[in-house]
Amino acid sequence: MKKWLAAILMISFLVIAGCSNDSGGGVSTENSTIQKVLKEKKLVIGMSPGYFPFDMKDPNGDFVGYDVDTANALGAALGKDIKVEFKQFTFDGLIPALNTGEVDMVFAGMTIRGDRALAVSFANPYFQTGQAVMVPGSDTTTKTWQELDVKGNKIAVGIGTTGALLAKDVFKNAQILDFEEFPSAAAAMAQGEADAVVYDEPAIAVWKLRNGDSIKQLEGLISTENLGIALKKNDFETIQWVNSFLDSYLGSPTELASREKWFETSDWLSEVVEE
Amino acid sequence: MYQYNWSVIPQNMDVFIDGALKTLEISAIAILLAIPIGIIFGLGRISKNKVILFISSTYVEIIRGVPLLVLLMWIFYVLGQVFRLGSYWGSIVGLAIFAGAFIAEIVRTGIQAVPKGQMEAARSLGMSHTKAMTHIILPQAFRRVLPPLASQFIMLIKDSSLVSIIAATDLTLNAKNLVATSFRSIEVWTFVALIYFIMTFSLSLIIRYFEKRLLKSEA
Repeated sequence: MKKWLAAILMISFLVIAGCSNDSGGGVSTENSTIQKVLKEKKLVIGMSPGYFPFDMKDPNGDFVGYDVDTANALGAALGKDIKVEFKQFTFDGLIPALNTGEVDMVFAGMTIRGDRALAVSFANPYFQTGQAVMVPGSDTTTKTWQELDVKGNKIAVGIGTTGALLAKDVFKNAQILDFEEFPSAAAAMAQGEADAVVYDEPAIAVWKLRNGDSIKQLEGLISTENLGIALKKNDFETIQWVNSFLDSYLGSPTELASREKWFETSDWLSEVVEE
Repeated sequence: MYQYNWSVIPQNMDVFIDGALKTLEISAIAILLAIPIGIIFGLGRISKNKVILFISSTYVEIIRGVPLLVLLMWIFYVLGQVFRLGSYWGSIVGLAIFAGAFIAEIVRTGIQAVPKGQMEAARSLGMSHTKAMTHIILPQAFRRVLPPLASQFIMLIKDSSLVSIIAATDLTLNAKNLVATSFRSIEVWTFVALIYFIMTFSLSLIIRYFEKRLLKSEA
């Protein structure tokens, strides 16, 4: 019995190890995502709702937001008959999903970083923002994030976000609490479990619009970041195509209207759910 | 194709060990709290007192009917409005309440499994109900209860993997963070599964050893 078990375990390990593939240099379009999407007439987008106003869901369960508009435009640019499908993940689950092929592209207001670019490839930046800090409205004394760096303070962040990486880097004394996504971190702060939240500025700005004086955004950004679409590593045809798409889309009337709707007005706030 | 790189495991061994110790710590404290909870409500379930019976049954039914994930969220976000426990104690209390309900059932069935003749004989010897319980029934129930109680501890270690949802540091949260920074999801999760297995399997071996000794002492 035990011998069979050992044999089965060994064989499984060998099979899994054997599946690893050392694809050498050279550019090929065989594994190109674009080709796959054109053939299957379906584009699967990985998203992590909760990053206002990029990635959100409305009460019907449909994905809405600036990233959603861009993704839909991208699908339409590929072909009129391409169906764009959105799949929900926790933020830290997006890159693994891209790498296993579960999604074709990741739209998540994702910051372009060197270490991420070792695992995936990014198209050109489509937005520029930075990390901001949010404290409860009741906190009238804190003016800078450095004041928050005292023992006993808890800073809420999202697992795997640049906010988490930055907070763990710059906060030496405060404790960092990891949450699955922004709304959980914000809820934790709302009931005193955390003293502050570090997250991308747009999410905090929208949260402030929604919650008024119960939260405060500290002045200034702790960092500046470029947001990009994550694509399969070294999928050059797709990267090239997406960049061309962005060149045509960014600054176009459609994109400007989308940008104005999500970033400059807040009528849509009542129509999204907190994830 | 996914490029395997197993070096992420030895490079971060301290993260895995720290997480495993934290998981064991949270589970151990939780089970220690869960046992008295289970005993109290288990006895309550067979109480003649209607009020105690009602309270105990309600507790057991509700807790067994709610998923642990939802219970943890409730403790953190709902109870947290009036009584803040924080991630660490919220996890322990959540796990203890959860396991306590199951242990209550184990205790109840353990007591009810003691032959009725024992209680009748004890009473006919002149013992009061309470004396019969403490000196005759409960000691016998104790031996029956130990094996399922031990498996409850093992289950708790596995269930504890959910506490990362309320930001409690444990093996699973450390794994999530490591995957987020290294992008080595396959390697990390395979190794974490192995660690959980080693923890639970070792415990079950230890328990089996003690069970054998217990059987010997009963013969």
